Formats: sequence, C-alpha cells, structure tokens
Amino acid sequence: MVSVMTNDEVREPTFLILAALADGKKHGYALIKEAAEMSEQRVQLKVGTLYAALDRLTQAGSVRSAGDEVVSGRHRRYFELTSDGAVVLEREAARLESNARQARARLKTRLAIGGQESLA
Amino acid sequence: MSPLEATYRRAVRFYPAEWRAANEDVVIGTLLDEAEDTGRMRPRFTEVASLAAHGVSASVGAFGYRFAGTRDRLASLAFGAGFALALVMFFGTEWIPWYPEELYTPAEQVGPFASATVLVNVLWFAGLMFAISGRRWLARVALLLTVPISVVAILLVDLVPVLWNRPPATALAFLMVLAVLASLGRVARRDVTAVAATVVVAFAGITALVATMDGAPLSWRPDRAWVIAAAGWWPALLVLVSIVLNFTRATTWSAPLLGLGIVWAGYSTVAGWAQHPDAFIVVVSAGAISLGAIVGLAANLFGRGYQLRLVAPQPKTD
Repeated sequence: MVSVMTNDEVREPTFLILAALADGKKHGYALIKEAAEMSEQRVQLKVGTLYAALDRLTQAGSVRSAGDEVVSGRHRRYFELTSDGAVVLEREAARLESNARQARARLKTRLAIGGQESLA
Repeated sequence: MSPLEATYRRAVRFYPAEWRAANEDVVIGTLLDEAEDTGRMRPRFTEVASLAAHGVSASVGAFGYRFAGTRDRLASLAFGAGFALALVMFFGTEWIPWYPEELYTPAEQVGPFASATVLVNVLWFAGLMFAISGRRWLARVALLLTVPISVVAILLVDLVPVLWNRPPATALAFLMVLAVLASLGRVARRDVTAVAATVVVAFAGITALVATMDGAPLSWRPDRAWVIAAAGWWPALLVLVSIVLNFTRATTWSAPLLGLGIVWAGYSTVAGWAQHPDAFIVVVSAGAISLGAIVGLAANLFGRGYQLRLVAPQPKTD
C-alpha cells in the first residue's frame, strides 16, 4: 500500500517528518529538532501535531514504529520510514523540485522582459 | 511526578483511552525532553492547547471509526431490505401480473402499472445493480432520488386523488428511511446481495404460506391480513436474530440487525395503527421496539454490549 496520500499534496510538517526519517530511525523529540533544523527554525512542531502526523503516517503505511526504550525514566519510541514512505517522500520531493524549476524559469523570463522594457 | 509532568498528563486526557494506553508515556517523554532542552519548568500554553485540540480530534475520529463498521453493515442491511420490499411492491402492488381483475381505473394507471411510483421501485433496482457492479456513488444517487419522488407522490395524491394513485404513504416513507440508511455507509456487494436474496426468499416463503392458508389470489395489498401479519413479525424476527447473534458472540451483525428491526418495527406500528388499530401488529411491533431497547441495555450491562462488540479493529497508533 503506497498510502492514502498518493494523490494528495503532502503538507510541510509531514514532508519534514518524512525527510527527517529518511536517513534512519528517530524518536519524537529528535524529529522535532530535525524538522526545525531543516526548515531553518521556521517550522516548530508541537508535540500534539507531531504525534497526530505520525498516527496518520503510520496508518497510511509510510512510517512504522521501530521500538521503544526508556532513557532516564522517560519513554521514547523510535520511528522509521517504510519503503512506501520513501516512495511518497521521493514523489513529493520531485514535485517540489519541479515547482521550484518552473518558478525560476518564469522569474528568468520576467527579468529578461524587464531588461528589454528598460532598454526600450 | 513533577508538577510539569502532572500538567502534561492532565492535558493528554483529551485523547481517547485506547490512544493514551498506547502512547501517553511516549508523548509525555517527548514533552519532558523538549522542556528540559529549552530550560522550562512550566508548560507553554500553545503546547497544552495543541494537545487538547489534537486529543479532542482523535476522540471524535475514534468514535466515528468505532461505529463505521456498524454503520456500513446497517447500510447493507437497509439496502438489501429496501430492494426486497421494492421488488415485492413492484410485483405485488404496481404490476400484479397474476391478478385477474383490474385493481384500479385505467385513468389512475401508468401503462401496465398501478401508479407512477413504480419509478421508486425501478430506482431501487437500478441502485442494486450499481451497488453490485461497485458503482457506489451512482447507487447512492439512485436511492436518494427516490426520496423527493416519494414526497411528491404522497403530496400529489393528497392534492389530486382522482388522477393519482400510489402505495400507502407509510410504505413509501419506510422505503425513504431505508434509502437514507443505505446511503449513509459503504455497502458491500456481497452483503447487499445476500440480504436482498434472503429477504426476497423469506418474504416469498411467508407470502406463499399465508396465501395458501388464506386461499385468496396473491397480491400485496395493504388490507390483507397476511401482509399485516408478515409486516408485524418481521421486526420481531430481526430483533430475535440480533439477540441470538449477540449472545452467541457472533456479534458483527447484531447491532445492525437490531437497528433495522427497530426501524421496521416503527414502520409496522404506524402502518398497523393506521389500518388496523385493533390488530396485534401494533402490539408485536411496539413489543419489538421495547424488546430491542431492553436487550440492548441488558447486553451492555452484562458486558456483551452491542456497542463494544461491534467495534472495528482500533487503528494502530504506535
């Protein structure tokens, strides 16, 4: 199952969670820190938001639990990306890259037109 | 437990119990990790608000998920029962190909059919075909179209009784309720087919039996005693099957059957009261409703509740 998100746009927090898991399993707070780092501190995930997203991703088959541990009396659960989740992440990354390329191409056109207008 | 942890644990109480059993300690651990890393001894308001909002959302979602299976099975039952009734009405009141006499005046008839409400029956047939072929959306449209058509038919007959004819308003109203119930859930092809076949065969069996005893030509006219008897015993039979299923722990279908039984009993009571106020149908139907309510309550009290037994598997939350 490639998940229910096959045809839906992945929202930024979800994309960042998937991206944070791409290089290996992580626990909840590590995901929050990694999402903030990847977004240059723009996205500060709330714990409630994080676990709601993880619930959805788990049900969709994109993410799975990778074991629990107790550190200094605190419970931690690790999560990892599934192969379906990697497909979703890859597709979303390609979509964002394509959008960015299109945007840059149009900006170049705008600059070119602007240059001609200023010459005229 | 620190005051900070106690505050966090109060905030996660908004989540459903099953979710908390699986995730509470992990979520609290994450919250404490973050508080320690950012040097806080007090929770942020936005943290607690986020937990409350997601907790309420998860509780509402879990409620909907819990009853989704029951709703879908009730939809399948209503679909099958509605189709069977539409089939019986089509042959028994609208067409009656085996009946030797004219039931209605030619002015009232629409071609070979007794009334224009034959369209309601045809839409039910189309709905079943769509459902069996997996076109749920079209099936839903066909069923829901029967509602305005039935309403118009009921109103028109009251306005121009000489020109228009129709089956009893109670029968049309019952079909409308079944159409709405059938449209509320995702009907399964196999279930709809099985229920429709069962109801048709059972109804035909009862009809043949009572008609044999009655000795009169077959027709599903509302003033026939056998119809009253069959309509009255149907809900009671459904409730009885529901009880047996519930107490044999084969509970998947017990609540949907109880739901359909109660709806059917309501129809039978109203129809019976309108046509035969002294008939036993009223007692039987009202009895079925009461029995259903009592059994449902008792089953819950004794831990074999319809609600709890009917839940779909809980979503994985870890």
